[in-house]
Amino acid sequence: MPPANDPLRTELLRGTLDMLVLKTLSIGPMHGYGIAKHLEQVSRDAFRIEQGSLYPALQRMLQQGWIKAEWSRTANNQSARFYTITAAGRKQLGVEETGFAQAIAAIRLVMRQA
Amino acid sequence: MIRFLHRLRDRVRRGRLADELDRELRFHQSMLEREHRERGLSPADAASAARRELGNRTAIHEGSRDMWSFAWIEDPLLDLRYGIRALRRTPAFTVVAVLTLALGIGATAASFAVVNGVLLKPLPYGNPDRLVGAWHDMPLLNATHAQQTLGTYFTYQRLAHTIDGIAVYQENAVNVSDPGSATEPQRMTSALISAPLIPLLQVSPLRGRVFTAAEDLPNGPGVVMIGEAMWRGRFGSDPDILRRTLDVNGRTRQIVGVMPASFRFPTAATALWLPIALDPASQSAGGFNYDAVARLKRGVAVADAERDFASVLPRMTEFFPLVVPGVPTKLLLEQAKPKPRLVPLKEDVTGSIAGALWVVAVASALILLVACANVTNLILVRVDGRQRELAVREALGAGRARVMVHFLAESVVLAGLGAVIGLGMAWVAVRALVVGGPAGIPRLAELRIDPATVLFTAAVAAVVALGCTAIPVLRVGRADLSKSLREGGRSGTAGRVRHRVRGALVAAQMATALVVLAGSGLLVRTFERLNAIKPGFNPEHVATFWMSLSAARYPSDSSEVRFYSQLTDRVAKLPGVQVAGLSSRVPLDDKGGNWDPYYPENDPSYANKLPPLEIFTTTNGDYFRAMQIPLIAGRTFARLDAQRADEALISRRVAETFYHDSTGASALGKRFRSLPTGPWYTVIGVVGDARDSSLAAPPSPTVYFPEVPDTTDNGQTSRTMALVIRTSGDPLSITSSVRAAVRELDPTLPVFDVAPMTTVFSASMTQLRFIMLILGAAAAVTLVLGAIGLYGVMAYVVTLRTRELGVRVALGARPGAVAAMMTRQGLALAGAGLAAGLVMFALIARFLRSMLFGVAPGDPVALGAASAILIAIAALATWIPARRASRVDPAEALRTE
Repeated sequence: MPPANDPLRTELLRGTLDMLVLKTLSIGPMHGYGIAKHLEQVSRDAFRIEQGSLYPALQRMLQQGWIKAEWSRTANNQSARFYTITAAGRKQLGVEETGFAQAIAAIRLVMRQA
Repeated sequence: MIRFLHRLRDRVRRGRLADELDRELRFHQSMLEREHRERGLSPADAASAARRELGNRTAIHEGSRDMWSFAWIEDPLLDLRYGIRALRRTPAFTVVAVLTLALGIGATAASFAVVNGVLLKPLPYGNPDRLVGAWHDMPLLNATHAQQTLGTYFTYQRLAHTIDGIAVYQENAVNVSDPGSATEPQRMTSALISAPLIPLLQVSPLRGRVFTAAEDLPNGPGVVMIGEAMWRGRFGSDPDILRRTLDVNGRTRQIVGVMPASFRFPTAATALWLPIALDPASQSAGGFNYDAVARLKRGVAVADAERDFASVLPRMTEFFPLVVPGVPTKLLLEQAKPKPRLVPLKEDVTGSIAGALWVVAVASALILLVACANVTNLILVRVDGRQRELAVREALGAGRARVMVHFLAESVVLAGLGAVIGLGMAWVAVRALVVGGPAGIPRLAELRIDPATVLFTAAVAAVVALGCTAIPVLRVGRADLSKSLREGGRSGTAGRVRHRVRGALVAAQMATALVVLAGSGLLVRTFERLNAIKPGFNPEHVATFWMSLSAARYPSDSSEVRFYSQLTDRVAKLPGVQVAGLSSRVPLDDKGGNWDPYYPENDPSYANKLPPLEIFTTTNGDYFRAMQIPLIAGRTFARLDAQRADEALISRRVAETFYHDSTGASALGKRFRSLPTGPWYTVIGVVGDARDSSLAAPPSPTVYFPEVPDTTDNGQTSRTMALVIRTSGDPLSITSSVRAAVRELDPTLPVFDVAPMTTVFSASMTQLRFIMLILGAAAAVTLVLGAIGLYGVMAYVVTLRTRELGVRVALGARPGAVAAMMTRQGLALAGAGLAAGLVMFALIARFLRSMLFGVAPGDPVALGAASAILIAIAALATWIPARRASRVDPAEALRTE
């Protein structure tokens, strides 16, 4: 039996994580560790990326066809799995950015009035 | 769709994906480790820090695995596993529920196999939907199912334009032996067929060919077709079978073809086929003696073909001016007004049994219904017992749907197991039916548990699983979980609604049990009535032995009669034999029926009119003494060698019909003939009536002739006769001595159908007994299940009310009063069920009407007895828990809470 989840929170997190990963990959191909590091650095450690969320999210996006994965060598010659954003992924990123912007705007409106 | 395919692909390569993920995580960990080392941690600390940071690897795996699989398929599989586990924890419940369902599903599966195999499946011929049986209705002669005459057959064959063809056949039996062998010939079931028959059915011989038109003529060459069973058995699958011959009734015949085992026409017992050899050039149309099957042209409706037949029938007079010498065909057509009737062949083959089989099917469906009600009730109790667990689960976030699915999974497991065991039971039942089933069920040999039955059973099991879960699940859905959590114990169960649902289920079971019980009660009454009938003869201590003299060995009437009189003389002297009679027909046996008209002398009413038909039987005088058919007036036949051929006996009905005298006195000395131009016979005696065709039908008027040879046309000798022997003890004790007496006279003559008359008597009720047995078993099962259901509910109510009962007893209620209160509650349920059952029965009883004899569908005795049995069983089922209720110890009852 899956644990009880607050559906609202889950959705928000999940959607945001997808968007952040896609945004990261839009810079260039990157492996899972790199994605996590990048997000931490860019957000100045505001986001701690749980590997428990990151890898399932990557799997899901692979299935959606938003990203592609390929094994290749890192700069210091280690074998790693690199993810690349696809055309569908870029489109999805656009959709999510718009949605996110609208959501933020809506939240601002609410917060201002409250 | 694409996502689905991806998911499917990923599901398939789940193992590889997991490996990949592992590698990926190892990489991630090594990167973390390096990061920590660069910050100055020792390698060991760096490794453990990295492990910590990466978190629970299993959790990551699980999170990803959800992506690669089908929760909506795999969760149910998981649920099934949980279900099985839960059921294993409660073996008693599981065994009872599975066996109950197996009984219901098994009964339904078996009756589906029978109904589908006998009634629904197409006949095993080419384009069977265009085949029809061809009959005539002649209401004026009281004949609703008259067959074809030679004349009608050739008339339809030549003139009817709505059919591709028509063929006739006649079932019979022959003595078969190998040419030149001295062994005793075998009696075998055979069929006479016209040449077009097998091509018409669109069946091909396994070997050889069918009969040619030239072989199907009087005095044609001696040919025979045999069945696959005979070819494989008697001839050891001889590849040269078409060069072999067979002696049939003393005549050597060439084997021209072998029919496959699947060809069971007209019956499964038919072992060989002979040309019927009707003469198309005959002047006489002849009697209605031949069964017929026709193939409609494509697209022709049965009614159109019937109209076509009716329009060409009058032209029979052109080809066949006479029916028999002295009776013009025109007279027959005008007087009897035969109306052609075509019946789809399948209906024709199965018509007699269809009603009985549907009754059996309905009975088994009712068993299933009662079984489901029982299991539903059991599941209800189970759900109630787990109310708290469910509440906890729901509180922890399990969706309601998931909780329901869990129960569905349990009942899927129950129904699945029930279906498997039920199929096994059905297999046994069908085998038993095929091997030992009553004679007269057509297509019985084709029956088996086929894929259609398995599919049907699976569908039934699915419906059962859903049905048994529906009520409990709806109730869980409605239950207020927080309340049951708060109340926490057993006092939190059983609202009013719950009792109502359970009570309604039990009442429905009771109603169903009553319907089945009352139905079998009516059949028992019918059986009783039939057995109470005085058949006009005494079957006790009588044995019958059939034999058929071949024309090859007994070429003349006198040689036949010499044999039979020598035989009866010898048999009469055997120890244990009282009287040795001889007859060409035995009551309630379908062999040797011969109907002919009776023209009384000097009766002008039959000058231009067909007289009613009578059964013509050939006997000796001792036949009446052996059967104890009373002589009412005059005398019976003398010894065969002293008996005149032109004398006859008539039954009382014949005397009433033609001489308006039930004492028979005025019939004595009167003359009659069977054809307007035939020889005269003199009535020398009148005997009592005997029930001839069936116990339920009125006695058939019968005319008896002596087995005496005659040089004039009077001879009514018969080649096929039964020794009818009255014995002093067990009728079968004389079997071997009678056989020996036959062998002494003629070692090549087979004796067949040896049976006590009591067996013939009860065989005439085989079908009734079969249905009675099935319905009786169904009644017992539904009653027991209903009683268990009632007991279960009452026991449960007592458990729930233990505290209340304890208070009552503590306040001074007498134990008897408590027991009475509980009994009243149980009987109220049974009473409601009884009332509903009676209403249901009134609605469906008319379907039983055709099987009843001497009782009305609303027979008060049957209904009263059924009600009484039901109430008695219900009282018993209630009494046990009620007694327990009365013995509640108040102190203990109050403490248990």
